[in-house]
Amino acid sequence: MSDADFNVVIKRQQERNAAASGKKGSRAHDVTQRSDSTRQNLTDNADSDLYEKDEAEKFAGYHTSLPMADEDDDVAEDTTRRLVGQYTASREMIDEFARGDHVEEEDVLAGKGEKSGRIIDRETDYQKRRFDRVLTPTRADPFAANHQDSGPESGNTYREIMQSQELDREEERIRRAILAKKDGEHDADVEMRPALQGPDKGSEEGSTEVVTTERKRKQRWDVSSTPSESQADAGRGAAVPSKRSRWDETPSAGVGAAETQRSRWDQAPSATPMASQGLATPLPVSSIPVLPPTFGTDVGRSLGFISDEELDLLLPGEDQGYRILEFPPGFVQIRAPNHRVAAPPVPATGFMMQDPEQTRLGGQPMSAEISGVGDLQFLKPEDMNYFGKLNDGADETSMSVDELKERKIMKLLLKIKNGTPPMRKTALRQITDNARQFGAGPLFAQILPLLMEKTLEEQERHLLVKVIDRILYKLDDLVRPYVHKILVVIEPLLIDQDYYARVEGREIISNVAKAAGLATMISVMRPDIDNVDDYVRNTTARAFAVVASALSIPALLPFLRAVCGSKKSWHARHTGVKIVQQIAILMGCAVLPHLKGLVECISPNLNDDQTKVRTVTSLAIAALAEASNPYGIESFDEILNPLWTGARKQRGKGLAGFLKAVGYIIPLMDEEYANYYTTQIMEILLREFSSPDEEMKKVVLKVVSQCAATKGVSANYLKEHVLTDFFKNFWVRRMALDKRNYKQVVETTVDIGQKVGVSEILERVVDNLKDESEPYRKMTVETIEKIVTSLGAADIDERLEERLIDGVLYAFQEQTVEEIVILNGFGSVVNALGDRCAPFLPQITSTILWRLNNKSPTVRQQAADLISRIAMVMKQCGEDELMGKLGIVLYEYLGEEYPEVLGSILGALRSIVTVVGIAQMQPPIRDLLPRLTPILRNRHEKVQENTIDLVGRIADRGPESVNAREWMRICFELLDMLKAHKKGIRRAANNTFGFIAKAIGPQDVLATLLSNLRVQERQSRVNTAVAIGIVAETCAPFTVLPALMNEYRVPELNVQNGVLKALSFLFEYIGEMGKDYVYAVTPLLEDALIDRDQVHRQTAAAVVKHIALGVVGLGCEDAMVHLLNLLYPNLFETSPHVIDRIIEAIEAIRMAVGPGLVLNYIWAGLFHPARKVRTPYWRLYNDAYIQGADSMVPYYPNLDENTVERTELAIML
Amino acid sequence: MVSPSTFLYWLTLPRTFPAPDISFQADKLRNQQELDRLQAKFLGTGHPDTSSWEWTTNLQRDTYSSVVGHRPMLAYIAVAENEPISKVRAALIRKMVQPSGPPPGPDDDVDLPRERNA
Repeated sequence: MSDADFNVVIKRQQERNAAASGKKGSRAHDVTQRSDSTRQNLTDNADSDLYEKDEAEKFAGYHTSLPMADEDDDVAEDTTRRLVGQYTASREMIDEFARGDHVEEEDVLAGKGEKSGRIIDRETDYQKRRFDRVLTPTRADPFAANHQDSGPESGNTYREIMQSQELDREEERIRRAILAKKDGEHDADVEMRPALQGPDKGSEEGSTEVVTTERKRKQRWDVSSTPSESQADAGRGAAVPSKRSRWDETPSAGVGAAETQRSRWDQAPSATPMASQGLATPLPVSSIPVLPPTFGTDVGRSLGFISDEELDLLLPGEDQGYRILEFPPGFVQIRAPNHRVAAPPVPATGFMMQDPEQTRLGGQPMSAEISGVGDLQFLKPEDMNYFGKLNDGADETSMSVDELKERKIMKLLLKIKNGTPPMRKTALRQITDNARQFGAGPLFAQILPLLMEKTLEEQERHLLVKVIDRILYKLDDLVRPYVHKILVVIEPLLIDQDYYARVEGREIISNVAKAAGLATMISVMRPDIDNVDDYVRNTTARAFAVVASALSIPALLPFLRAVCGSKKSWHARHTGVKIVQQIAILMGCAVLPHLKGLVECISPNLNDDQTKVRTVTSLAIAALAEASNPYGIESFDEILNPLWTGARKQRGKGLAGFLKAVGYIIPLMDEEYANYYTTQIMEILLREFSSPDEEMKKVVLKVVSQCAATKGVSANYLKEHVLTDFFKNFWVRRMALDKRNYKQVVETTVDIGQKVGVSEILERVVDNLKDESEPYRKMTVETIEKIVTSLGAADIDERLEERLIDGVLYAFQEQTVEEIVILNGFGSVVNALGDRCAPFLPQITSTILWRLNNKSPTVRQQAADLISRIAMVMKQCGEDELMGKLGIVLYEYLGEEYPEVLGSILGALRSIVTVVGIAQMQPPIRDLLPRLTPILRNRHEKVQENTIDLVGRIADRGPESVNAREWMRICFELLDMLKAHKKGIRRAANNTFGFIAKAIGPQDVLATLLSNLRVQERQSRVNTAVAIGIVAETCAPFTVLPALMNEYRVPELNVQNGVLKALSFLFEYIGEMGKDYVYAVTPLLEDALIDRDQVHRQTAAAVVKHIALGVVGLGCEDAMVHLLNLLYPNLFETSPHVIDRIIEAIEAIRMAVGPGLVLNYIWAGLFHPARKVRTPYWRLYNDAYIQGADSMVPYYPNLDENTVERTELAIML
Repeated sequence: MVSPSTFLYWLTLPRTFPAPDISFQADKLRNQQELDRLQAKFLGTGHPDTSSWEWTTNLQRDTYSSVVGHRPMLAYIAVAENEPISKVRAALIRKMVQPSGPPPGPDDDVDLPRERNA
């Protein structure tokens, strides 16, 4: 770069600086940057100790700003002599308008955004389908040890459930058939409806039960015990005559029809929701089974039935030519108890709008709290549905034991769910400890519905799940009848977005599995495997995978084999294969021992009739291969052929799955096979390169990169067969627009690049660097960066090199948004080319200089960052002069106002200092460092980190270039850095103290540090102590110790503690050197160890520990035993920190003096009558035992019992 | 600066004794689990309720296993007893079976500190 260019830049820069200083005043209260007082003005005196800054005083006594709204002294009192009162708006009104309190706080959507804790708000539609599931009734436990106890009435048996599943499926089939028919012929008649549908629908709708909402399978139509049954029958009772009336009945039956019609508007309100809720299939109105209108007066009359007498009155009689038919033989009329018909509707199980009024309809007003529980953190209106019962004010003395239990559980649950943390803790303990007394039934009857609540928040769910987890341990096999219910609420956790929810779900299910046993788990989950709902099947498959991981795969394998081979339904096969897939995903390489079994289990499904089954099978194979990578190819042997031939036959989604499986299996093969199988599949891959399907594209890219990565595929093969098509189809601008495509293309290209070499790829993509599409340029740069970083630039020829640099420069300059990708790419390319960059460096430097002067801060920042990346290469190219110029320019920019940019500039300066060395640095260090001192005061982390790094480097390498006074000033600034939040900054500051102390001698630095021990902040004191330790380490302890011990005489707790802490760090750092100072500090430690203050003793114990560990084997045993005697009485401290330090110190002394001596202290208390004494002694004993059981052998006491003779030890030769 | 073993042990410490109070049950449960883990790993570790029989048994077993484990010690004893090394070794290992006799029955008062030396 010519000097003329350089001068232009300098000139512009000066202009900019001048302009910046012109508008300085306006920036005075910009909080993001340093205030003006801390920014060093070049025209000012740098040394504010000698020449005080006058501008600080200039405005003393003036108000520097106008009072803001909060100070209302001007409204306080009217002291003027006005005749008319001055009225103004009240403070509240002003505030209200200023802040809009009532407008913004009552935002109805406030709680509904992303921040709301409600689970339902962030769930996808698919996940919301969990509400379609209902808690099934309790199951019978066929595996119970005492079978007699759990009689047949205790729950549904497996057979019943399977039958009802069958019914469900049939119903689903018929519903589909109806739908299909409807779609086909719109005039489909009502009469075509299967007779089963009507009543069955009714039963589904009217499920009523107070605690557990019923699953439809319970309403088996031939059992008349459930309440809903009666309604179904009532429905049938109403429906049958009306239906008959359609075609074979006399007109008089129209009365029934009229009633049906009438019921639409004057029905009792309670009946309406019952009849219309959850009607999945839109059916004609007349088919809805409705109740005849009821009036309270007509109690004796049975609802829904018309007596024979009434019928006789209504219908034409025999005299008119009609005849009353007998019931056909074998017909039994179903009679249901009619008092249940008017049972109140229960919240539906499907989706329901939350009606805020609804809770109030119960008659009882919402009360703010629940009696007998205490202060809760919150109480939602929904909670009243569950816990309102506690408020009924019933007399507890008159309740049965069961009711009392129920109330107790309710209270505990409420405390756990809504209580404060301490409340929650005790309640959780109580519920855990009494779980068996409460019994599984009552517990789950309350917990599980809570978990199904729609307004449940994450925290509540977590707590309730925790309750389940705890009580599972206690209940053990008592949970068996409730396993399905638990699964219904826990399975949705397995597909939650939140990782921790998934883990929690897995843990619960695996605990359930362990408690209930495999047989129960299978019998409970078996019916769900071919459930009609794919949501149920999916979650069940995941749950099964968890069961497999809990109870071992081999145990589950026979069952899986049976399911995957199911002849009856493809749903079952699909789920079975899915279980295998989930097992592979869940367990990773732990599937390896059972790989063969798993593959054999699903291999027949590769040729299934159902496309879905075939696809999921290929995906399962892919998952298995991924999990077992790089082993286990022999297990896949038998499916290779079906897979490869299958891939030829498939199209679309099925093909994508097959290709995916192929892609994961190829890396497992050895070279020869991999080569063969790749060529076999490549044909299909090449064909699918041009597929428009996004999913297919991704799979193809993945497979290509997997094939390219295997050893068996040669570079030549790739070059000849793949590269051209690949670049033609995937290196197009469109691919750069979609984020996932972009990533996949870059990854695949890099993988291919690993095989075919850098130049082959670069040759093809380098021109894209000058493409007009920015994302495309970015994609190119990223690819180049990755390839060049991993493979170097050795095989890039001169011409390509030129194009490359040119292109990268173009891409760099043409950025509209400054991207880290481009910066990294530039850096990597330059570093890879190394000294071959030399011809281009002037051009690069001038670009940097221009961009350093840019108006946009991000551009400046990026330019500075680029300097730090390429500084090393510039040094290699011998461009020292250029670097000097850059250094000077950067130095001028130290007045930068944006902290991010300033940080980058400091980073650039640091990298220049690093490569050119302190001596050659331009500008000279003696100019640079004073300029850095005020910057040290900047609070921005990036600035702090980079400054301290730079200062530390200078202190380390060239401390002589700056005078001691400047270093002291820096020391003072550094003290502030000791309270930085970032550990790296604190560490760098501490190290810098060491360097400075080394440079200018420890005395002054130490004095500064010691006085800093008096500050209030703990963090600052701790770091000062560390710094003292470092100074002692760098300047030898004898320079520090006297001053430090002298400081201990200050009768101030903080100082003494600080000294002890410093001693602790000091002895930790100096290690073995400490042996010369042990006797010197012992008196001090004596004093500290018998101090009244606990923390004092604790810190002293830490010192003892470090001393003892330092002097192991160096002959200071007497001092150590002395200290042990002082330490030992502290053994009964209870504060965890103190006792830990004490124990550690005793352990350290044990290391120093050997176990024999210390064990003599221990024997005394191991069998002390008081447990409080025994406990710490056993702790010491156990620690000694863990660390050196063998070395304790000679020191065990000789017990003079004949059973405890160790005669071998007495043998003398 | 808690050493791992200390930390582990700290977790195992029951906080209160005895615990009629229900509120410490969960902590006790966790402590018990941690202690079980510690003892599964190091058989010889004890706790405040270790009986002296358990302790002396462990103590003797440790002694024998230490002798068996250090070849020079074994050789030393073998020379002193004028027996082949393997015989001495086998004898020592055999001695590890109930070195302090059978465990005390339920009616023996085991919890009294029985050790008289220090």
